[in-house]
Amino acid sequence: MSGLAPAVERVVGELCKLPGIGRKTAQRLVFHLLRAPASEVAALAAALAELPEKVRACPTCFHLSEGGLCPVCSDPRRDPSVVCVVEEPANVLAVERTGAFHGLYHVLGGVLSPLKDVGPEDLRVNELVERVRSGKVAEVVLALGSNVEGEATAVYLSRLLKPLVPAVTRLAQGLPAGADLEFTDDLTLARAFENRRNY
Amino acid sequence: MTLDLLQADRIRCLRAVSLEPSRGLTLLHGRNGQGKTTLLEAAYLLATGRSFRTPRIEEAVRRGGGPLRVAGRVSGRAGETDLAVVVDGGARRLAADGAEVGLEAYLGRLEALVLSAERERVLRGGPDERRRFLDRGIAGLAPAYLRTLGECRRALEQRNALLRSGGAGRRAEVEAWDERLAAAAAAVHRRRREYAVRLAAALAEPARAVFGPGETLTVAYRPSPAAAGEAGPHGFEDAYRRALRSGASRDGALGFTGEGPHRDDLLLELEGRDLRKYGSAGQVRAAVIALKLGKLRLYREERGENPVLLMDDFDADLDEERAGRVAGFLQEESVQAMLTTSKETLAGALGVPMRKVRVVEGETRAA
Ligand SMILES: Nc1ncnc2c1ncn2[C@@H]1O[C@H](COP(=O)(O)OP(=O)(O)OP(=O)(O)O)[C@@H](O)[C@H]1O
Ligand SMILES: [Mg+2]
Ligand SMILES: [Zn+2]
Repeated sequence: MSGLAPAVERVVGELCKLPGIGRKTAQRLVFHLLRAPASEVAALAAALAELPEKVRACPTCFHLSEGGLCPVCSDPRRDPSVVCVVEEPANVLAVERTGAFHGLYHVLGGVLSPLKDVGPEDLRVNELVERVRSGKVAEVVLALGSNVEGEATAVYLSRLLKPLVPAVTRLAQGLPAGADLEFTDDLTLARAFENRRNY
Repeated sequence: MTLDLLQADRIRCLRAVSLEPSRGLTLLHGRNGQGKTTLLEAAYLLATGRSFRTPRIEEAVRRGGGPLRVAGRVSGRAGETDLAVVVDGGARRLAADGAEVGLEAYLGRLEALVLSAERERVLRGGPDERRRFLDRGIAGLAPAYLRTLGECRRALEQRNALLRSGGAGRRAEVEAWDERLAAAAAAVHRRRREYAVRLAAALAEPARAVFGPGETLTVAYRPSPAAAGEAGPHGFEDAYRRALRSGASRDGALGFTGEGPHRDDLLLELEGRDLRKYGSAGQVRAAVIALKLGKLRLYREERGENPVLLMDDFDADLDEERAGRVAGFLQEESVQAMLTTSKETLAGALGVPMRKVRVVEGETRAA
């Protein structure tokens, strides 16, 4: 149908499944690989093949790790009494880049979304509760997205965790940098007010 | 602001039309199917980049050959601007003062309010038409409202999906969605209430002009749930959350959320009686016109100038006296309006000075 050789079409089809890659990009990548030396293509294939075998979820926080605890959990300088809950591993990297957080993480693996048939049992909620029950956690920071699903998940978790842990907090939400009050929606503005602080 | 020149070519039946509308009233008359509505469509397209008749603008491209082109000159507080819209196949190009621009940069130079059969469903149609009327009006004044509205819809869809999948018994989950829904709903509620109050005030004078002194037209926001609405703009969120909780088992059985902003309505009454149920055709149409004129006044309060008014089938359902009163009001308010009619003799009956233009087979003639 597409006029491509079946072998090429197969790779294009697989690449298209990746986030952010459309057919055109996939084709460009494949044409690039076709021109590359065979050894490079083999190296890529081998690296990919290794991925599911070698990379596992950290047994404690479910961040990516290569067998055993992830680099964050195995770092003795991190404060285990503060646990930051994020949606996915990419969020761990984002928070780590800021250097502002010195506790441990908990990767939920998604957010609640009945429309996509995702409930608490599909997320690592029980594991989070167990971690908190173990008694060594003094604060849980909910760092989920500020969209509808992230907010609802934060509400759900905060109610679940409050009886179990001294403090449940969330990231402050306010105006995006450079935002103009006049063009800010009511909910964002209201949240920014709730989260106002002293100068 | 005024539209001082309107050119239209290959939009439906129109051929190389060039028209200088009056800064007051312009009456486009002609027999059925000659291109009167299409001229309004052209003006609206110039203002918004869209058609009020169809979401698929390519339908308006002349059968058998485009490109469709409308152009015009606007003068307003911001000075003079030349605008042009070209639709060629599926592609639309917008230009302001000769430079091609994207839609967002294009909008705002010419504001047009249109009153056509499609828009008149606001009164006869279901409550969703009236919610859309409110929401469009609010978004016109505060574009960020669309985001608030989107969050409210999304939270509602999520809650409904949970209920449909038999999740009503999962209290903690339902309540998490209740929380989100209540916060977003409260923001929508506040905006709609505020807008309805402003509209009611802006409407009073036009309504008197359209109905005459004997009949009073009132509009009232009817929020859902009614009890939460009575709690006032600040009590709404708590009251709605309580309503969601107490309605949870009913909602669970239904598989959707029975109350909330998605059930709001706007009530229009003439002398205290629901126009939707008891209004005559002429009364309903007069009320729709009054609503539109109220919207026009709100716009003027906000921006300091009138938008251009486009009224299709101006005299439909109106008796001559009432049509004359509407025309008189437009003149008093210094509104630039383009009106269409299929009745030759209407202009004489209105008793208001206006430029008359005859539309024949896709062309215009002064007459
Ligand atoms: N894409 C198109 N290409 C060519 N002609 C079209 C196209 N779409 C509609 N028409 C024709 O253009 C005319 C549309 O005219 P318009 O709707 O402006 O009429 P009108 O003068 O408002 O009539 P009425 O008094 O019946 O409302 C009709 O004759 C219609 O058949
Ligand atoms: Mg018509
Ligand atoms: Zn870990």
